Amino acid sequence: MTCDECENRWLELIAGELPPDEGAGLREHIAGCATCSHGFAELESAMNAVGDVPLEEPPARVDDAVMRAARAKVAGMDPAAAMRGAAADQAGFFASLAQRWSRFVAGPQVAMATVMVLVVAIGVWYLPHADLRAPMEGETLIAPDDTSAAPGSAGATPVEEASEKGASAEPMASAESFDQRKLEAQEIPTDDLKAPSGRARRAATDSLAMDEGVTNALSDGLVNDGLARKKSRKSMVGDDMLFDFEGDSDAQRYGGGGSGLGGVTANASTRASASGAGARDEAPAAPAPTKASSELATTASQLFTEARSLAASGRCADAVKVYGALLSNYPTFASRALAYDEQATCYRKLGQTSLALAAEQNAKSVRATESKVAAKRAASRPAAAEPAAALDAE
Amino acid sequence: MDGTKETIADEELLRRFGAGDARAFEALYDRYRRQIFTFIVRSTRDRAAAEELTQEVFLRVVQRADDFKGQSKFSTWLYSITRNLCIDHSRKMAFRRHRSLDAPLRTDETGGASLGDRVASDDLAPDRNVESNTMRSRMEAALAAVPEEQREVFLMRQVEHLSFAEIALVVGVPENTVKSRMRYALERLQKALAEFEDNVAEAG
Repeated sequence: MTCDECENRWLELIAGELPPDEGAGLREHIAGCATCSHGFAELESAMNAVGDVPLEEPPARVDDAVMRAARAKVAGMDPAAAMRGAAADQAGFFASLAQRWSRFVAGPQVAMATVMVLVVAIGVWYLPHADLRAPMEGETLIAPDDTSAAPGSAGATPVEEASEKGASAEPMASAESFDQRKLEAQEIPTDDLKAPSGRARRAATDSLAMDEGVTNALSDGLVNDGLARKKSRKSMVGDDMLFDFEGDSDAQRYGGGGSGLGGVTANASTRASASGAGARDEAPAAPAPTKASSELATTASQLFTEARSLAASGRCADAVKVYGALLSNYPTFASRALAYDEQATCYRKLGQTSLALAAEQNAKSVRATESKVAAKRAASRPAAAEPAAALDAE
Repeated sequence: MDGTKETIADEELLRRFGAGDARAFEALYDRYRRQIFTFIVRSTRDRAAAEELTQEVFLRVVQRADDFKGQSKFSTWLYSITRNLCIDHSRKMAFRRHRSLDAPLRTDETGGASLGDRVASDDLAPDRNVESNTMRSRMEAALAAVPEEQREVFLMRQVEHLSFAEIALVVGVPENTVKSRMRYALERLQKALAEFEDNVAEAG
């Protein structure tokens, strides 16, 4: 017997699994071989040190599940289903389920999917309510109540002037406030104009604080204003931006809640630039009057006429309210300066001198802006007229 | 192995179960339930997984009882099923383990323990290992230090007392390779147990 052959049987020799004669032969070789003797002693020592492995007892639920599967097999049923059913009946089922679930959700893919679902869910929940949230900081600076605030306050400051000065954020914020009111008014179906919805009525009433008659008139105007904007939308870049914010659909709002203020700001500035370019019509910034803008002109004119008649009949308090509504909601109304003057007159009759002075100041501002616009037009005309003049000369 | 095992052979019990005798299976299950559960617990080091896998092993036995032709011993067949399920489980766990858990805890620890080694392992804490002087916990900790291929041979040999020829059939390697793995496992375990003894002595 070689040492290799002997060493190959040590484990069985230690375990006592060899036939007696073979075991005796091995022990004889080991006793006479120093190398094998040393190696065998080490292995025997290791085996004694390690010993057997203590057996573990499986839980009773495992036994139950297995035996239920076996009985199901004998009964001709599905043993796997029976085992699952046994697991479901076991008291520790929920612990097992929780452990499986925790393993599943511990994966990075599940974590990412959960985050994405949360983000989308929060967005879907929050954005449709964005217009119902509390006014933002810029909005709180506005005094939209034309009846209680001075007509010469920032809310009534001509947009053109604000744009050119570029200093005060209030006129822009004021435009935002009007746009939001218009947004709410736009949501009123045309058929319901005579009976505005509660939301539109509340928006018009709360924000403008007008009496019932004036509110109805104003609502009509706002709705018509919105219709006119829709009809002339494609032809007006500035109003496209306005509509992007004002939200014809929720999908546009989902484009980003943070873009709302930017949209409003852009709208205010584009409207100002459109007005500054000479678009002086009741339909704000409309380059070419349409049927709807004509209707708006009529509505603004009606307000102007009503205000004048009220003033003429001595109802100055009502007159200043109608003037305020007109000037607040029709920033491109052609006769704004005149309206401010007449409003100032009414204030003086009411003894409200400071308000009268403010209105007169606004009238001056409007006229100054108109003069600048006229000067710009005059400066641009000769250049455009030169080719025509050249043709005439030929 | 129980002494009553030799009363009726495993293969005969399985045949009777295939013929519709549920009590034959009960006797067969009673012979192997602790051994299989112990083997899986020591292999996976996850008791909850071991419970599931033990059920799954015997479910396979129930489902395939009719397919067993008696060409090998029942114990060899049973441990083949058990080993395959343990390997599948090990692969699933390796796949599910997050990459960041496999990374070293610090960038300068190229060969250091990963977070997964410290967090996801069901091993006993080192201080608990030192304090524990029970045979079970010492063996548990020592076995964790043995490579998988050596551990499975050791477990089949020491838990179920399979012969090396049978283990070679289950594992699919030559018998001499099985014996080598067994000797390596014994040497590692002896060394690990000796270290634990030293730690206990120092702590005491």
